[in-house]
Amino acid sequence: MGTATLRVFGIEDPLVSFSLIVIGILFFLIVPGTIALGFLDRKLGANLQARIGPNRTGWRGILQPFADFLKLSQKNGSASFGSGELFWMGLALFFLFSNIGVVPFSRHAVLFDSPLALMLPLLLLLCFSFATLLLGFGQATVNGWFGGIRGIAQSVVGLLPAMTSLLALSLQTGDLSWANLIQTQSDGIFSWNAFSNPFLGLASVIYLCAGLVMLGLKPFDVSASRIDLHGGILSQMYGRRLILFRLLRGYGFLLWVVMTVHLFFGGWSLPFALDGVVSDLGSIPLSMAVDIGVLGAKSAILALFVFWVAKVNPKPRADQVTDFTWKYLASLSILNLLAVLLWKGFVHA
Amino acid sequence: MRADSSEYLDTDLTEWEIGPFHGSLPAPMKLRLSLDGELIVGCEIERGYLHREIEKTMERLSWDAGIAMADRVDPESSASSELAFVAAVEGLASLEISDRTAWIRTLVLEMNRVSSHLGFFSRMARSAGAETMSQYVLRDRERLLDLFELMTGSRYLYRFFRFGGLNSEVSDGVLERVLTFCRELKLRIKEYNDLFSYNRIFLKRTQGVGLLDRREAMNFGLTGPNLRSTGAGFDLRVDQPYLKYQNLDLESIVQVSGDCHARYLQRLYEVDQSLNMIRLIVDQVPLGGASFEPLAKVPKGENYAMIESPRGLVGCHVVSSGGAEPVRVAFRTGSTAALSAIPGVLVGYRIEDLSVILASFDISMAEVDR
Amino acid sequence: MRSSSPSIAHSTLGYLGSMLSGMKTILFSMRATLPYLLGRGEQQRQVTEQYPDPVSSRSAEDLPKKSRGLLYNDIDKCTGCGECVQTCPTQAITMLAEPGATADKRWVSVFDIDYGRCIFCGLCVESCGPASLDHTRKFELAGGSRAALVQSFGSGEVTDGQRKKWLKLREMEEEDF
Repeated sequence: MGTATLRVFGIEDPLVSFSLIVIGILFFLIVPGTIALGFLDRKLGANLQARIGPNRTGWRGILQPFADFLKLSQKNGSASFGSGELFWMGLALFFLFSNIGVVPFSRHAVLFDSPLALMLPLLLLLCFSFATLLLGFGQATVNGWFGGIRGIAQSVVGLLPAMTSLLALSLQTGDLSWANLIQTQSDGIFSWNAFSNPFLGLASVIYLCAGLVMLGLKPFDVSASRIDLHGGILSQMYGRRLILFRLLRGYGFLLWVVMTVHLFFGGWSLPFALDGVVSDLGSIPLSMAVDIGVLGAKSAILALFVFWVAKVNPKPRADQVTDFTWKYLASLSILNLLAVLLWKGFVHA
Repeated sequence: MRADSSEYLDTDLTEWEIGPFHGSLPAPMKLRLSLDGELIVGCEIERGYLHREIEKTMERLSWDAGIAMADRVDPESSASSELAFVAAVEGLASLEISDRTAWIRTLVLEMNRVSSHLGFFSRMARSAGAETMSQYVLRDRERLLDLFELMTGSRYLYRFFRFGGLNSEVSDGVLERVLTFCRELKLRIKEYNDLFSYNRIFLKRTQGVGLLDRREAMNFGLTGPNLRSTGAGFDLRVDQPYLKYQNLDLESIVQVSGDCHARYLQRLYEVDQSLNMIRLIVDQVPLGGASFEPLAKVPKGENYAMIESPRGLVGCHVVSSGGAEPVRVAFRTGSTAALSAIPGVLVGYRIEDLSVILASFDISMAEVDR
Repeated sequence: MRSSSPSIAHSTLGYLGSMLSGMKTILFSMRATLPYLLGRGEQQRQVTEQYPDPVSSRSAEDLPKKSRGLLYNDIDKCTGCGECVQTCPTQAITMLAEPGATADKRWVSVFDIDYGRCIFCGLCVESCGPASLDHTRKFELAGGSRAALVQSFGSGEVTDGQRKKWLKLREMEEEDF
């Protein structure tokens, strides 16, 4: 996709258009995406619990996340940032935002591609999740320390299933580049990786769960739980720091869901082989908008399922999470890899 | 699963103080934990944050006003503590109650039991992280509280039992609504069971956790659902029936495992039992009067009455010297024993089990501190 | 942790069994809550009351008649006997009364109920002879200060001149007798 994709909106200078795309993604996708996820979380939770949820701020409560942001930003105690927290913030910002360049949101904005491109987001998010340890230690409380330890245990454990699912995927698409992935999944719903091969369907579930474990997201978020660990890694976080934490976690979740959609559910391709139609659309911004819309819709549905299951079930303990990951996710993902290998070997020979 | 000796790290112990107010604690109390790694090896509980001098206040109030104070021993299960006081005084003053009064008192007691146990489910669900179940239960309890408001004038602190009778009449319309509520709650309980009671994640958090041996439980003086969930089937309503319990064909419900899940199931079955009882009561309530006479003086003497409250046995010791105020009123409550059993139960479990274990004993610090 | 090692078949079955029960749990929980996401059934109706919106939330008139809300004293009927003051468990009622214009009527100059102390037990209402004191169903009395929590029903202080007039009136009444 090289330099052609960088000539967006008639700007010739590659550096400028690259920067514009990055800034555009940040402000028009990431922040609204995280906010939309937060809103979905609250409204869904309220709906499930026979409540109304936020409905006064803006139309049907849509401005509620802004109201939360404003409320939190005017609260801050006298405690200054501990070194652990500063490190965490720096690392988190670095690893999360370097993902902007490597996860494409539209076919015209694939900024970076290589045979191992799909590994990059995984590794960057792994490093982000390791940074939780620093956050936990930076809380200077017993429960903060425990939260940090649990967070990192989960990260270490969640990596293996995610990696092996990704490898299973690479057997289907040939290599781990965006070009191949997009190519494989552009033929309608049964070319999507999750539906093309039963073992890859299982791999998609494993990948999603492994990500939730790794990043410490619901329903595996014991390390930040107010009830079990008395706040855990969040025990001293309030006010402006909490906003940053929530935004970063929300972005991590958004990123993981978007990655799952890209890898297993077709990315921006439409279900009925209408891909050709979108490519042939005259203007680039329009087809970019369609791509982003389709990607967003699929991510929202996946996020909805995750939130639903998380809100309705109790929370497992940290050691139960790691047990579950080793016993089921890791072992199944390895068996799955073998099974995909055999399937490709015998069925497609 | 209590940690066996290989899991202890034998490191320096961490001291961690929680409380008095915290999301994971069921009530204001201070816990000082000694942790070996993530296992709890010691625990000290400090109580007294809800001390309101109820017993002392009752010494300067008239007998009738004392009922308003007796309510407040445990606001969630106020009918039991009220009845304990009223029954003790009625025994002392040799007051007879009419048949209808006895039936309606039984009805209010059982409705109160359902209300208190619903609150328990909500706290238990919240401690395990299931917010949805918690909200569902509270929604259903609201309807029950509305019924209480209709019947007695107040949602929690009824002040409904009087010496020799009841505060006001209960109409047939109210009884019908009670029946409707029972029918609907039975359907809801099916919903709860589908969603939560046998949920695998909940089972993993509560089975084998917070084990309490039957002998230990009896040694600590536990009563009520906490005791019955360890296998000892002592239920005051069955063994020494009072009011109209002998007409209601009761059997003691018992669980044997003694863990948190057993305590949860015990109360679930007791709610079911209470709903059946309420139906029987409403069918059999006779017509009649339930009026009372204001009681100015109580003859000299002392009396003790025991009631099976949702949290255990509530006893009220009343001492009178023939005057217009009691000389001494002392309450014995079920949560006190549970509180003293907790440090022993907590040893060997992880920090994350703390909130689940505490919630499963259904401790009301209001009862403990009075 | 296990004392004897089970056979491979046994462990595999156990493994599959746990996996299935886990999936069953997730599916059951989703099934139990699906009506809430979709449905408009009676059981799944939203129960939030958007206080103070009068349509969706309850106001004082919607509460049962027996509800023990804020108190109201009809000062014209009040005889100033002081039973309520004696009965109140928390000494929430303050009252000052003095002989009034006629022998059978006392003038209640101060009748304050302190809601910072009131426990809404209703003993005062029960003890009121002339039935002037009663519960309303109102429940809103949030205030900005402790003074705002005191509700006054008294008829106010009287001057010394008024007292002398009343004394004369009462003496005249006695002479008429």
